[in-house]
Amino acid sequence: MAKKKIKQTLNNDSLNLKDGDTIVSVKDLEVQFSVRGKILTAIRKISLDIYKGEVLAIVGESASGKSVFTKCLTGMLESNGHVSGGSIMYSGTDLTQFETPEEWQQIRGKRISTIFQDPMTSLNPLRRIGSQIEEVITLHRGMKKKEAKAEAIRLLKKVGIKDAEARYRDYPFQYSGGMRQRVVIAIALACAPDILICDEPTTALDVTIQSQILELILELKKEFGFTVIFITHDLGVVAEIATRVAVMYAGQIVEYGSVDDIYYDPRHPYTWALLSSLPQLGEKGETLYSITGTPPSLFNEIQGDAFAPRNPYAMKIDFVKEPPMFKISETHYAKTWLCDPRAPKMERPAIIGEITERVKRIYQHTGGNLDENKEE
Amino acid sequence: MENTLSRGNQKINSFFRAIWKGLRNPTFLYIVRRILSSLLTLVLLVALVTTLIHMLPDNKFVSDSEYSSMIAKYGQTIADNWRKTVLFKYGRVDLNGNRIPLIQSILQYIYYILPIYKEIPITWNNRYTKVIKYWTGFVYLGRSMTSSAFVLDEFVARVPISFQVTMLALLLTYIIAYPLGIAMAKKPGGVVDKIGNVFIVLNYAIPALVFYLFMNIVFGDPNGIFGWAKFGYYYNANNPSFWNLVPPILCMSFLAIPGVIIWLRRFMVDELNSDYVKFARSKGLSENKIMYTHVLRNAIVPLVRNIPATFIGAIVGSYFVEKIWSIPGTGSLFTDGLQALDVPVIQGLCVLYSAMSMLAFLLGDIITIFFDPRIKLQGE
Repeated sequence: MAKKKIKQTLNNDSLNLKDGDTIVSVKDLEVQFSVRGKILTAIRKISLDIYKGEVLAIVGESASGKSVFTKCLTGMLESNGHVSGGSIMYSGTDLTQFETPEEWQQIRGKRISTIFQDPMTSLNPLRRIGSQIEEVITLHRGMKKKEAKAEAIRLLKKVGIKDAEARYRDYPFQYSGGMRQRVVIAIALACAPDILICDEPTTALDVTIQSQILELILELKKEFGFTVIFITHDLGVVAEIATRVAVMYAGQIVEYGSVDDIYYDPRHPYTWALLSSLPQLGEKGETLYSITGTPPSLFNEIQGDAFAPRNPYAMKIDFVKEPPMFKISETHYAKTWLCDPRAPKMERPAIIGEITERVKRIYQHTGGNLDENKEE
Repeated sequence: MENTLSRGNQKINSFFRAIWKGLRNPTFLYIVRRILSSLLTLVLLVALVTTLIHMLPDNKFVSDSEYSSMIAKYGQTIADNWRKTVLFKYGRVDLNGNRIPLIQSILQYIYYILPIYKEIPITWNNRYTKVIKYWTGFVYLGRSMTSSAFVLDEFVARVPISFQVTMLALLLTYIIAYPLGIAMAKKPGGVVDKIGNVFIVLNYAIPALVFYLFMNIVFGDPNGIFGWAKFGYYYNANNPSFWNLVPPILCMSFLAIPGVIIWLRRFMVDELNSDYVKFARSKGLSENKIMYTHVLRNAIVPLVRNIPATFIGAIVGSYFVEKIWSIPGTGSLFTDGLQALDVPVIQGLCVLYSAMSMLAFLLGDIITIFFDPRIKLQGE
């Protein structure tokens, strides 16, 4: 009976890909929610390729659609939401055609894993750590109880939990936040997935633990070779771990490119604004920049560029016609009329011009090593 | 020789050390503390009930009209003596006719319920000069004024039938309500949930008494739809048949189902919205697996605490059900005692019921430890 519910079966093509090959190809994706009888378009025609082995950071303010976008990959949209257009090609299958939970269970955990924001609530408080890891291993890898236990302990050690044999029998409340996030990572990686979606995995943790967790994710990525999609609104974190960045605003990707592209040559006024408002880049005595206004309501059809009303660089056309994606380089694309050859030359905010110097100063100061991370 | 002795000593030592360690176990200490505080509560309860009864005027026990008719018939002295005897029986005056002070009544009652062996005079000769009969035993809850049966004996004799009916009704309730609750929680707002809600609202809207009376007729009527089953209208204590108990059991559990469903559904829906369920889903677990190994397991924790109370409460039958189907159970004992101002029955059942409920909640708390590892029972 369970077989009948699976119309679309997933092949293993994606497992044979080399680094740099396209693993997920999103085309014109549109997601709508019905909220109190009204239609809210949370994702407005996103197209993006995700390459195997990269760390793709998706940044943007709250409610820009970052989480919704990644939820589409595992069919975890809330019950009032649905994909209303476009396609997500993964391993030769269009994921938007999946309907039943059984179809999604081919992917979830096994091929695409997710780590959520709050480790304090991600684990069942009343079940032992060990059994929660084992559960996935026995489900997806068909191991016997004994093997699964050995595997679970191995994973716990791998994510840096000391004395794993003893801690295997502990309950989540006996763990700190950082330790729990390590367990969550162990569970997410238990089945060696292709893609790991990290939905703000460090937001709920303090800064020291945050960097430990980031390091752990990068380390494990090096070892297992999975692709990471990293959602965050912390551009500092992005600089630390990402190889490619997509900036989202009001349900659209407004600019994407390599970390270098985004940090050293940002083109979209929204990216400028985001970077300008980074507290890390602020200088003593300077007022920290903040973006005025609020994002547009996604209940209504948006005319022109969604960012135009908040954009000090907005031109007339921004209010009338939606800009297309302009190609800036092989890797770098931006969705703003400013990239149109007919557009007048705009002076970028001073801070963007100085960004190289400022970043260098910060990293020399803190001993951080931005360049090394970028190359990964 | 000395060696073996000291070795033996060591053994004994370690044995006592183990016991000492066990005694200092926080859970054990907590339970001891709870029992002690329950006993204190019981003493206070006895004091309160005794005080209330003490405050009643004498003419609640000896009616003024009866007293004056006695005077008219036999004269003042005999009437006074009669009045004194009655008040003595109710424990309001001593043998000499002096009023018993409140504190003495309270202490005496506490002595009665202390579980130690005691002899209590219950029958005197006509002139009240000599005790003819003693009650011997451990816990004395007094003797009914109306039936002159011992309260505890009366209660114990009535327990089995009430327990049987209520327990079966409870089991039936759980067997029906749990799957229904789970089915409703699986898709909140879905079809099953909506139908279930309609059932619950309708069920709540029916007044229990009306429902029981109506069902008594429906099940009992020999010419009705259940005529073939011969359930009968009443339970006959002289010719007991389980068949007569089926309708009351069905009716009781029917009315109890919504209460169980509502809470189970509510706790399950709470759990369903939690992050760990989302994470479990993203792990690729099937909805059924999530439902049974995660959600249900966590949702029953707050319900488990009430289970001992429910089952211990089953000792006390339902007043309406037992009246309507004439089941000679415990349900009507307290109400009838109140109506007849049967002081020993009221006092005795108060003590009994409160002791039972305190025990039930203690057991409930102890059981919760096994279901929720986060909970540790310990004093400060």
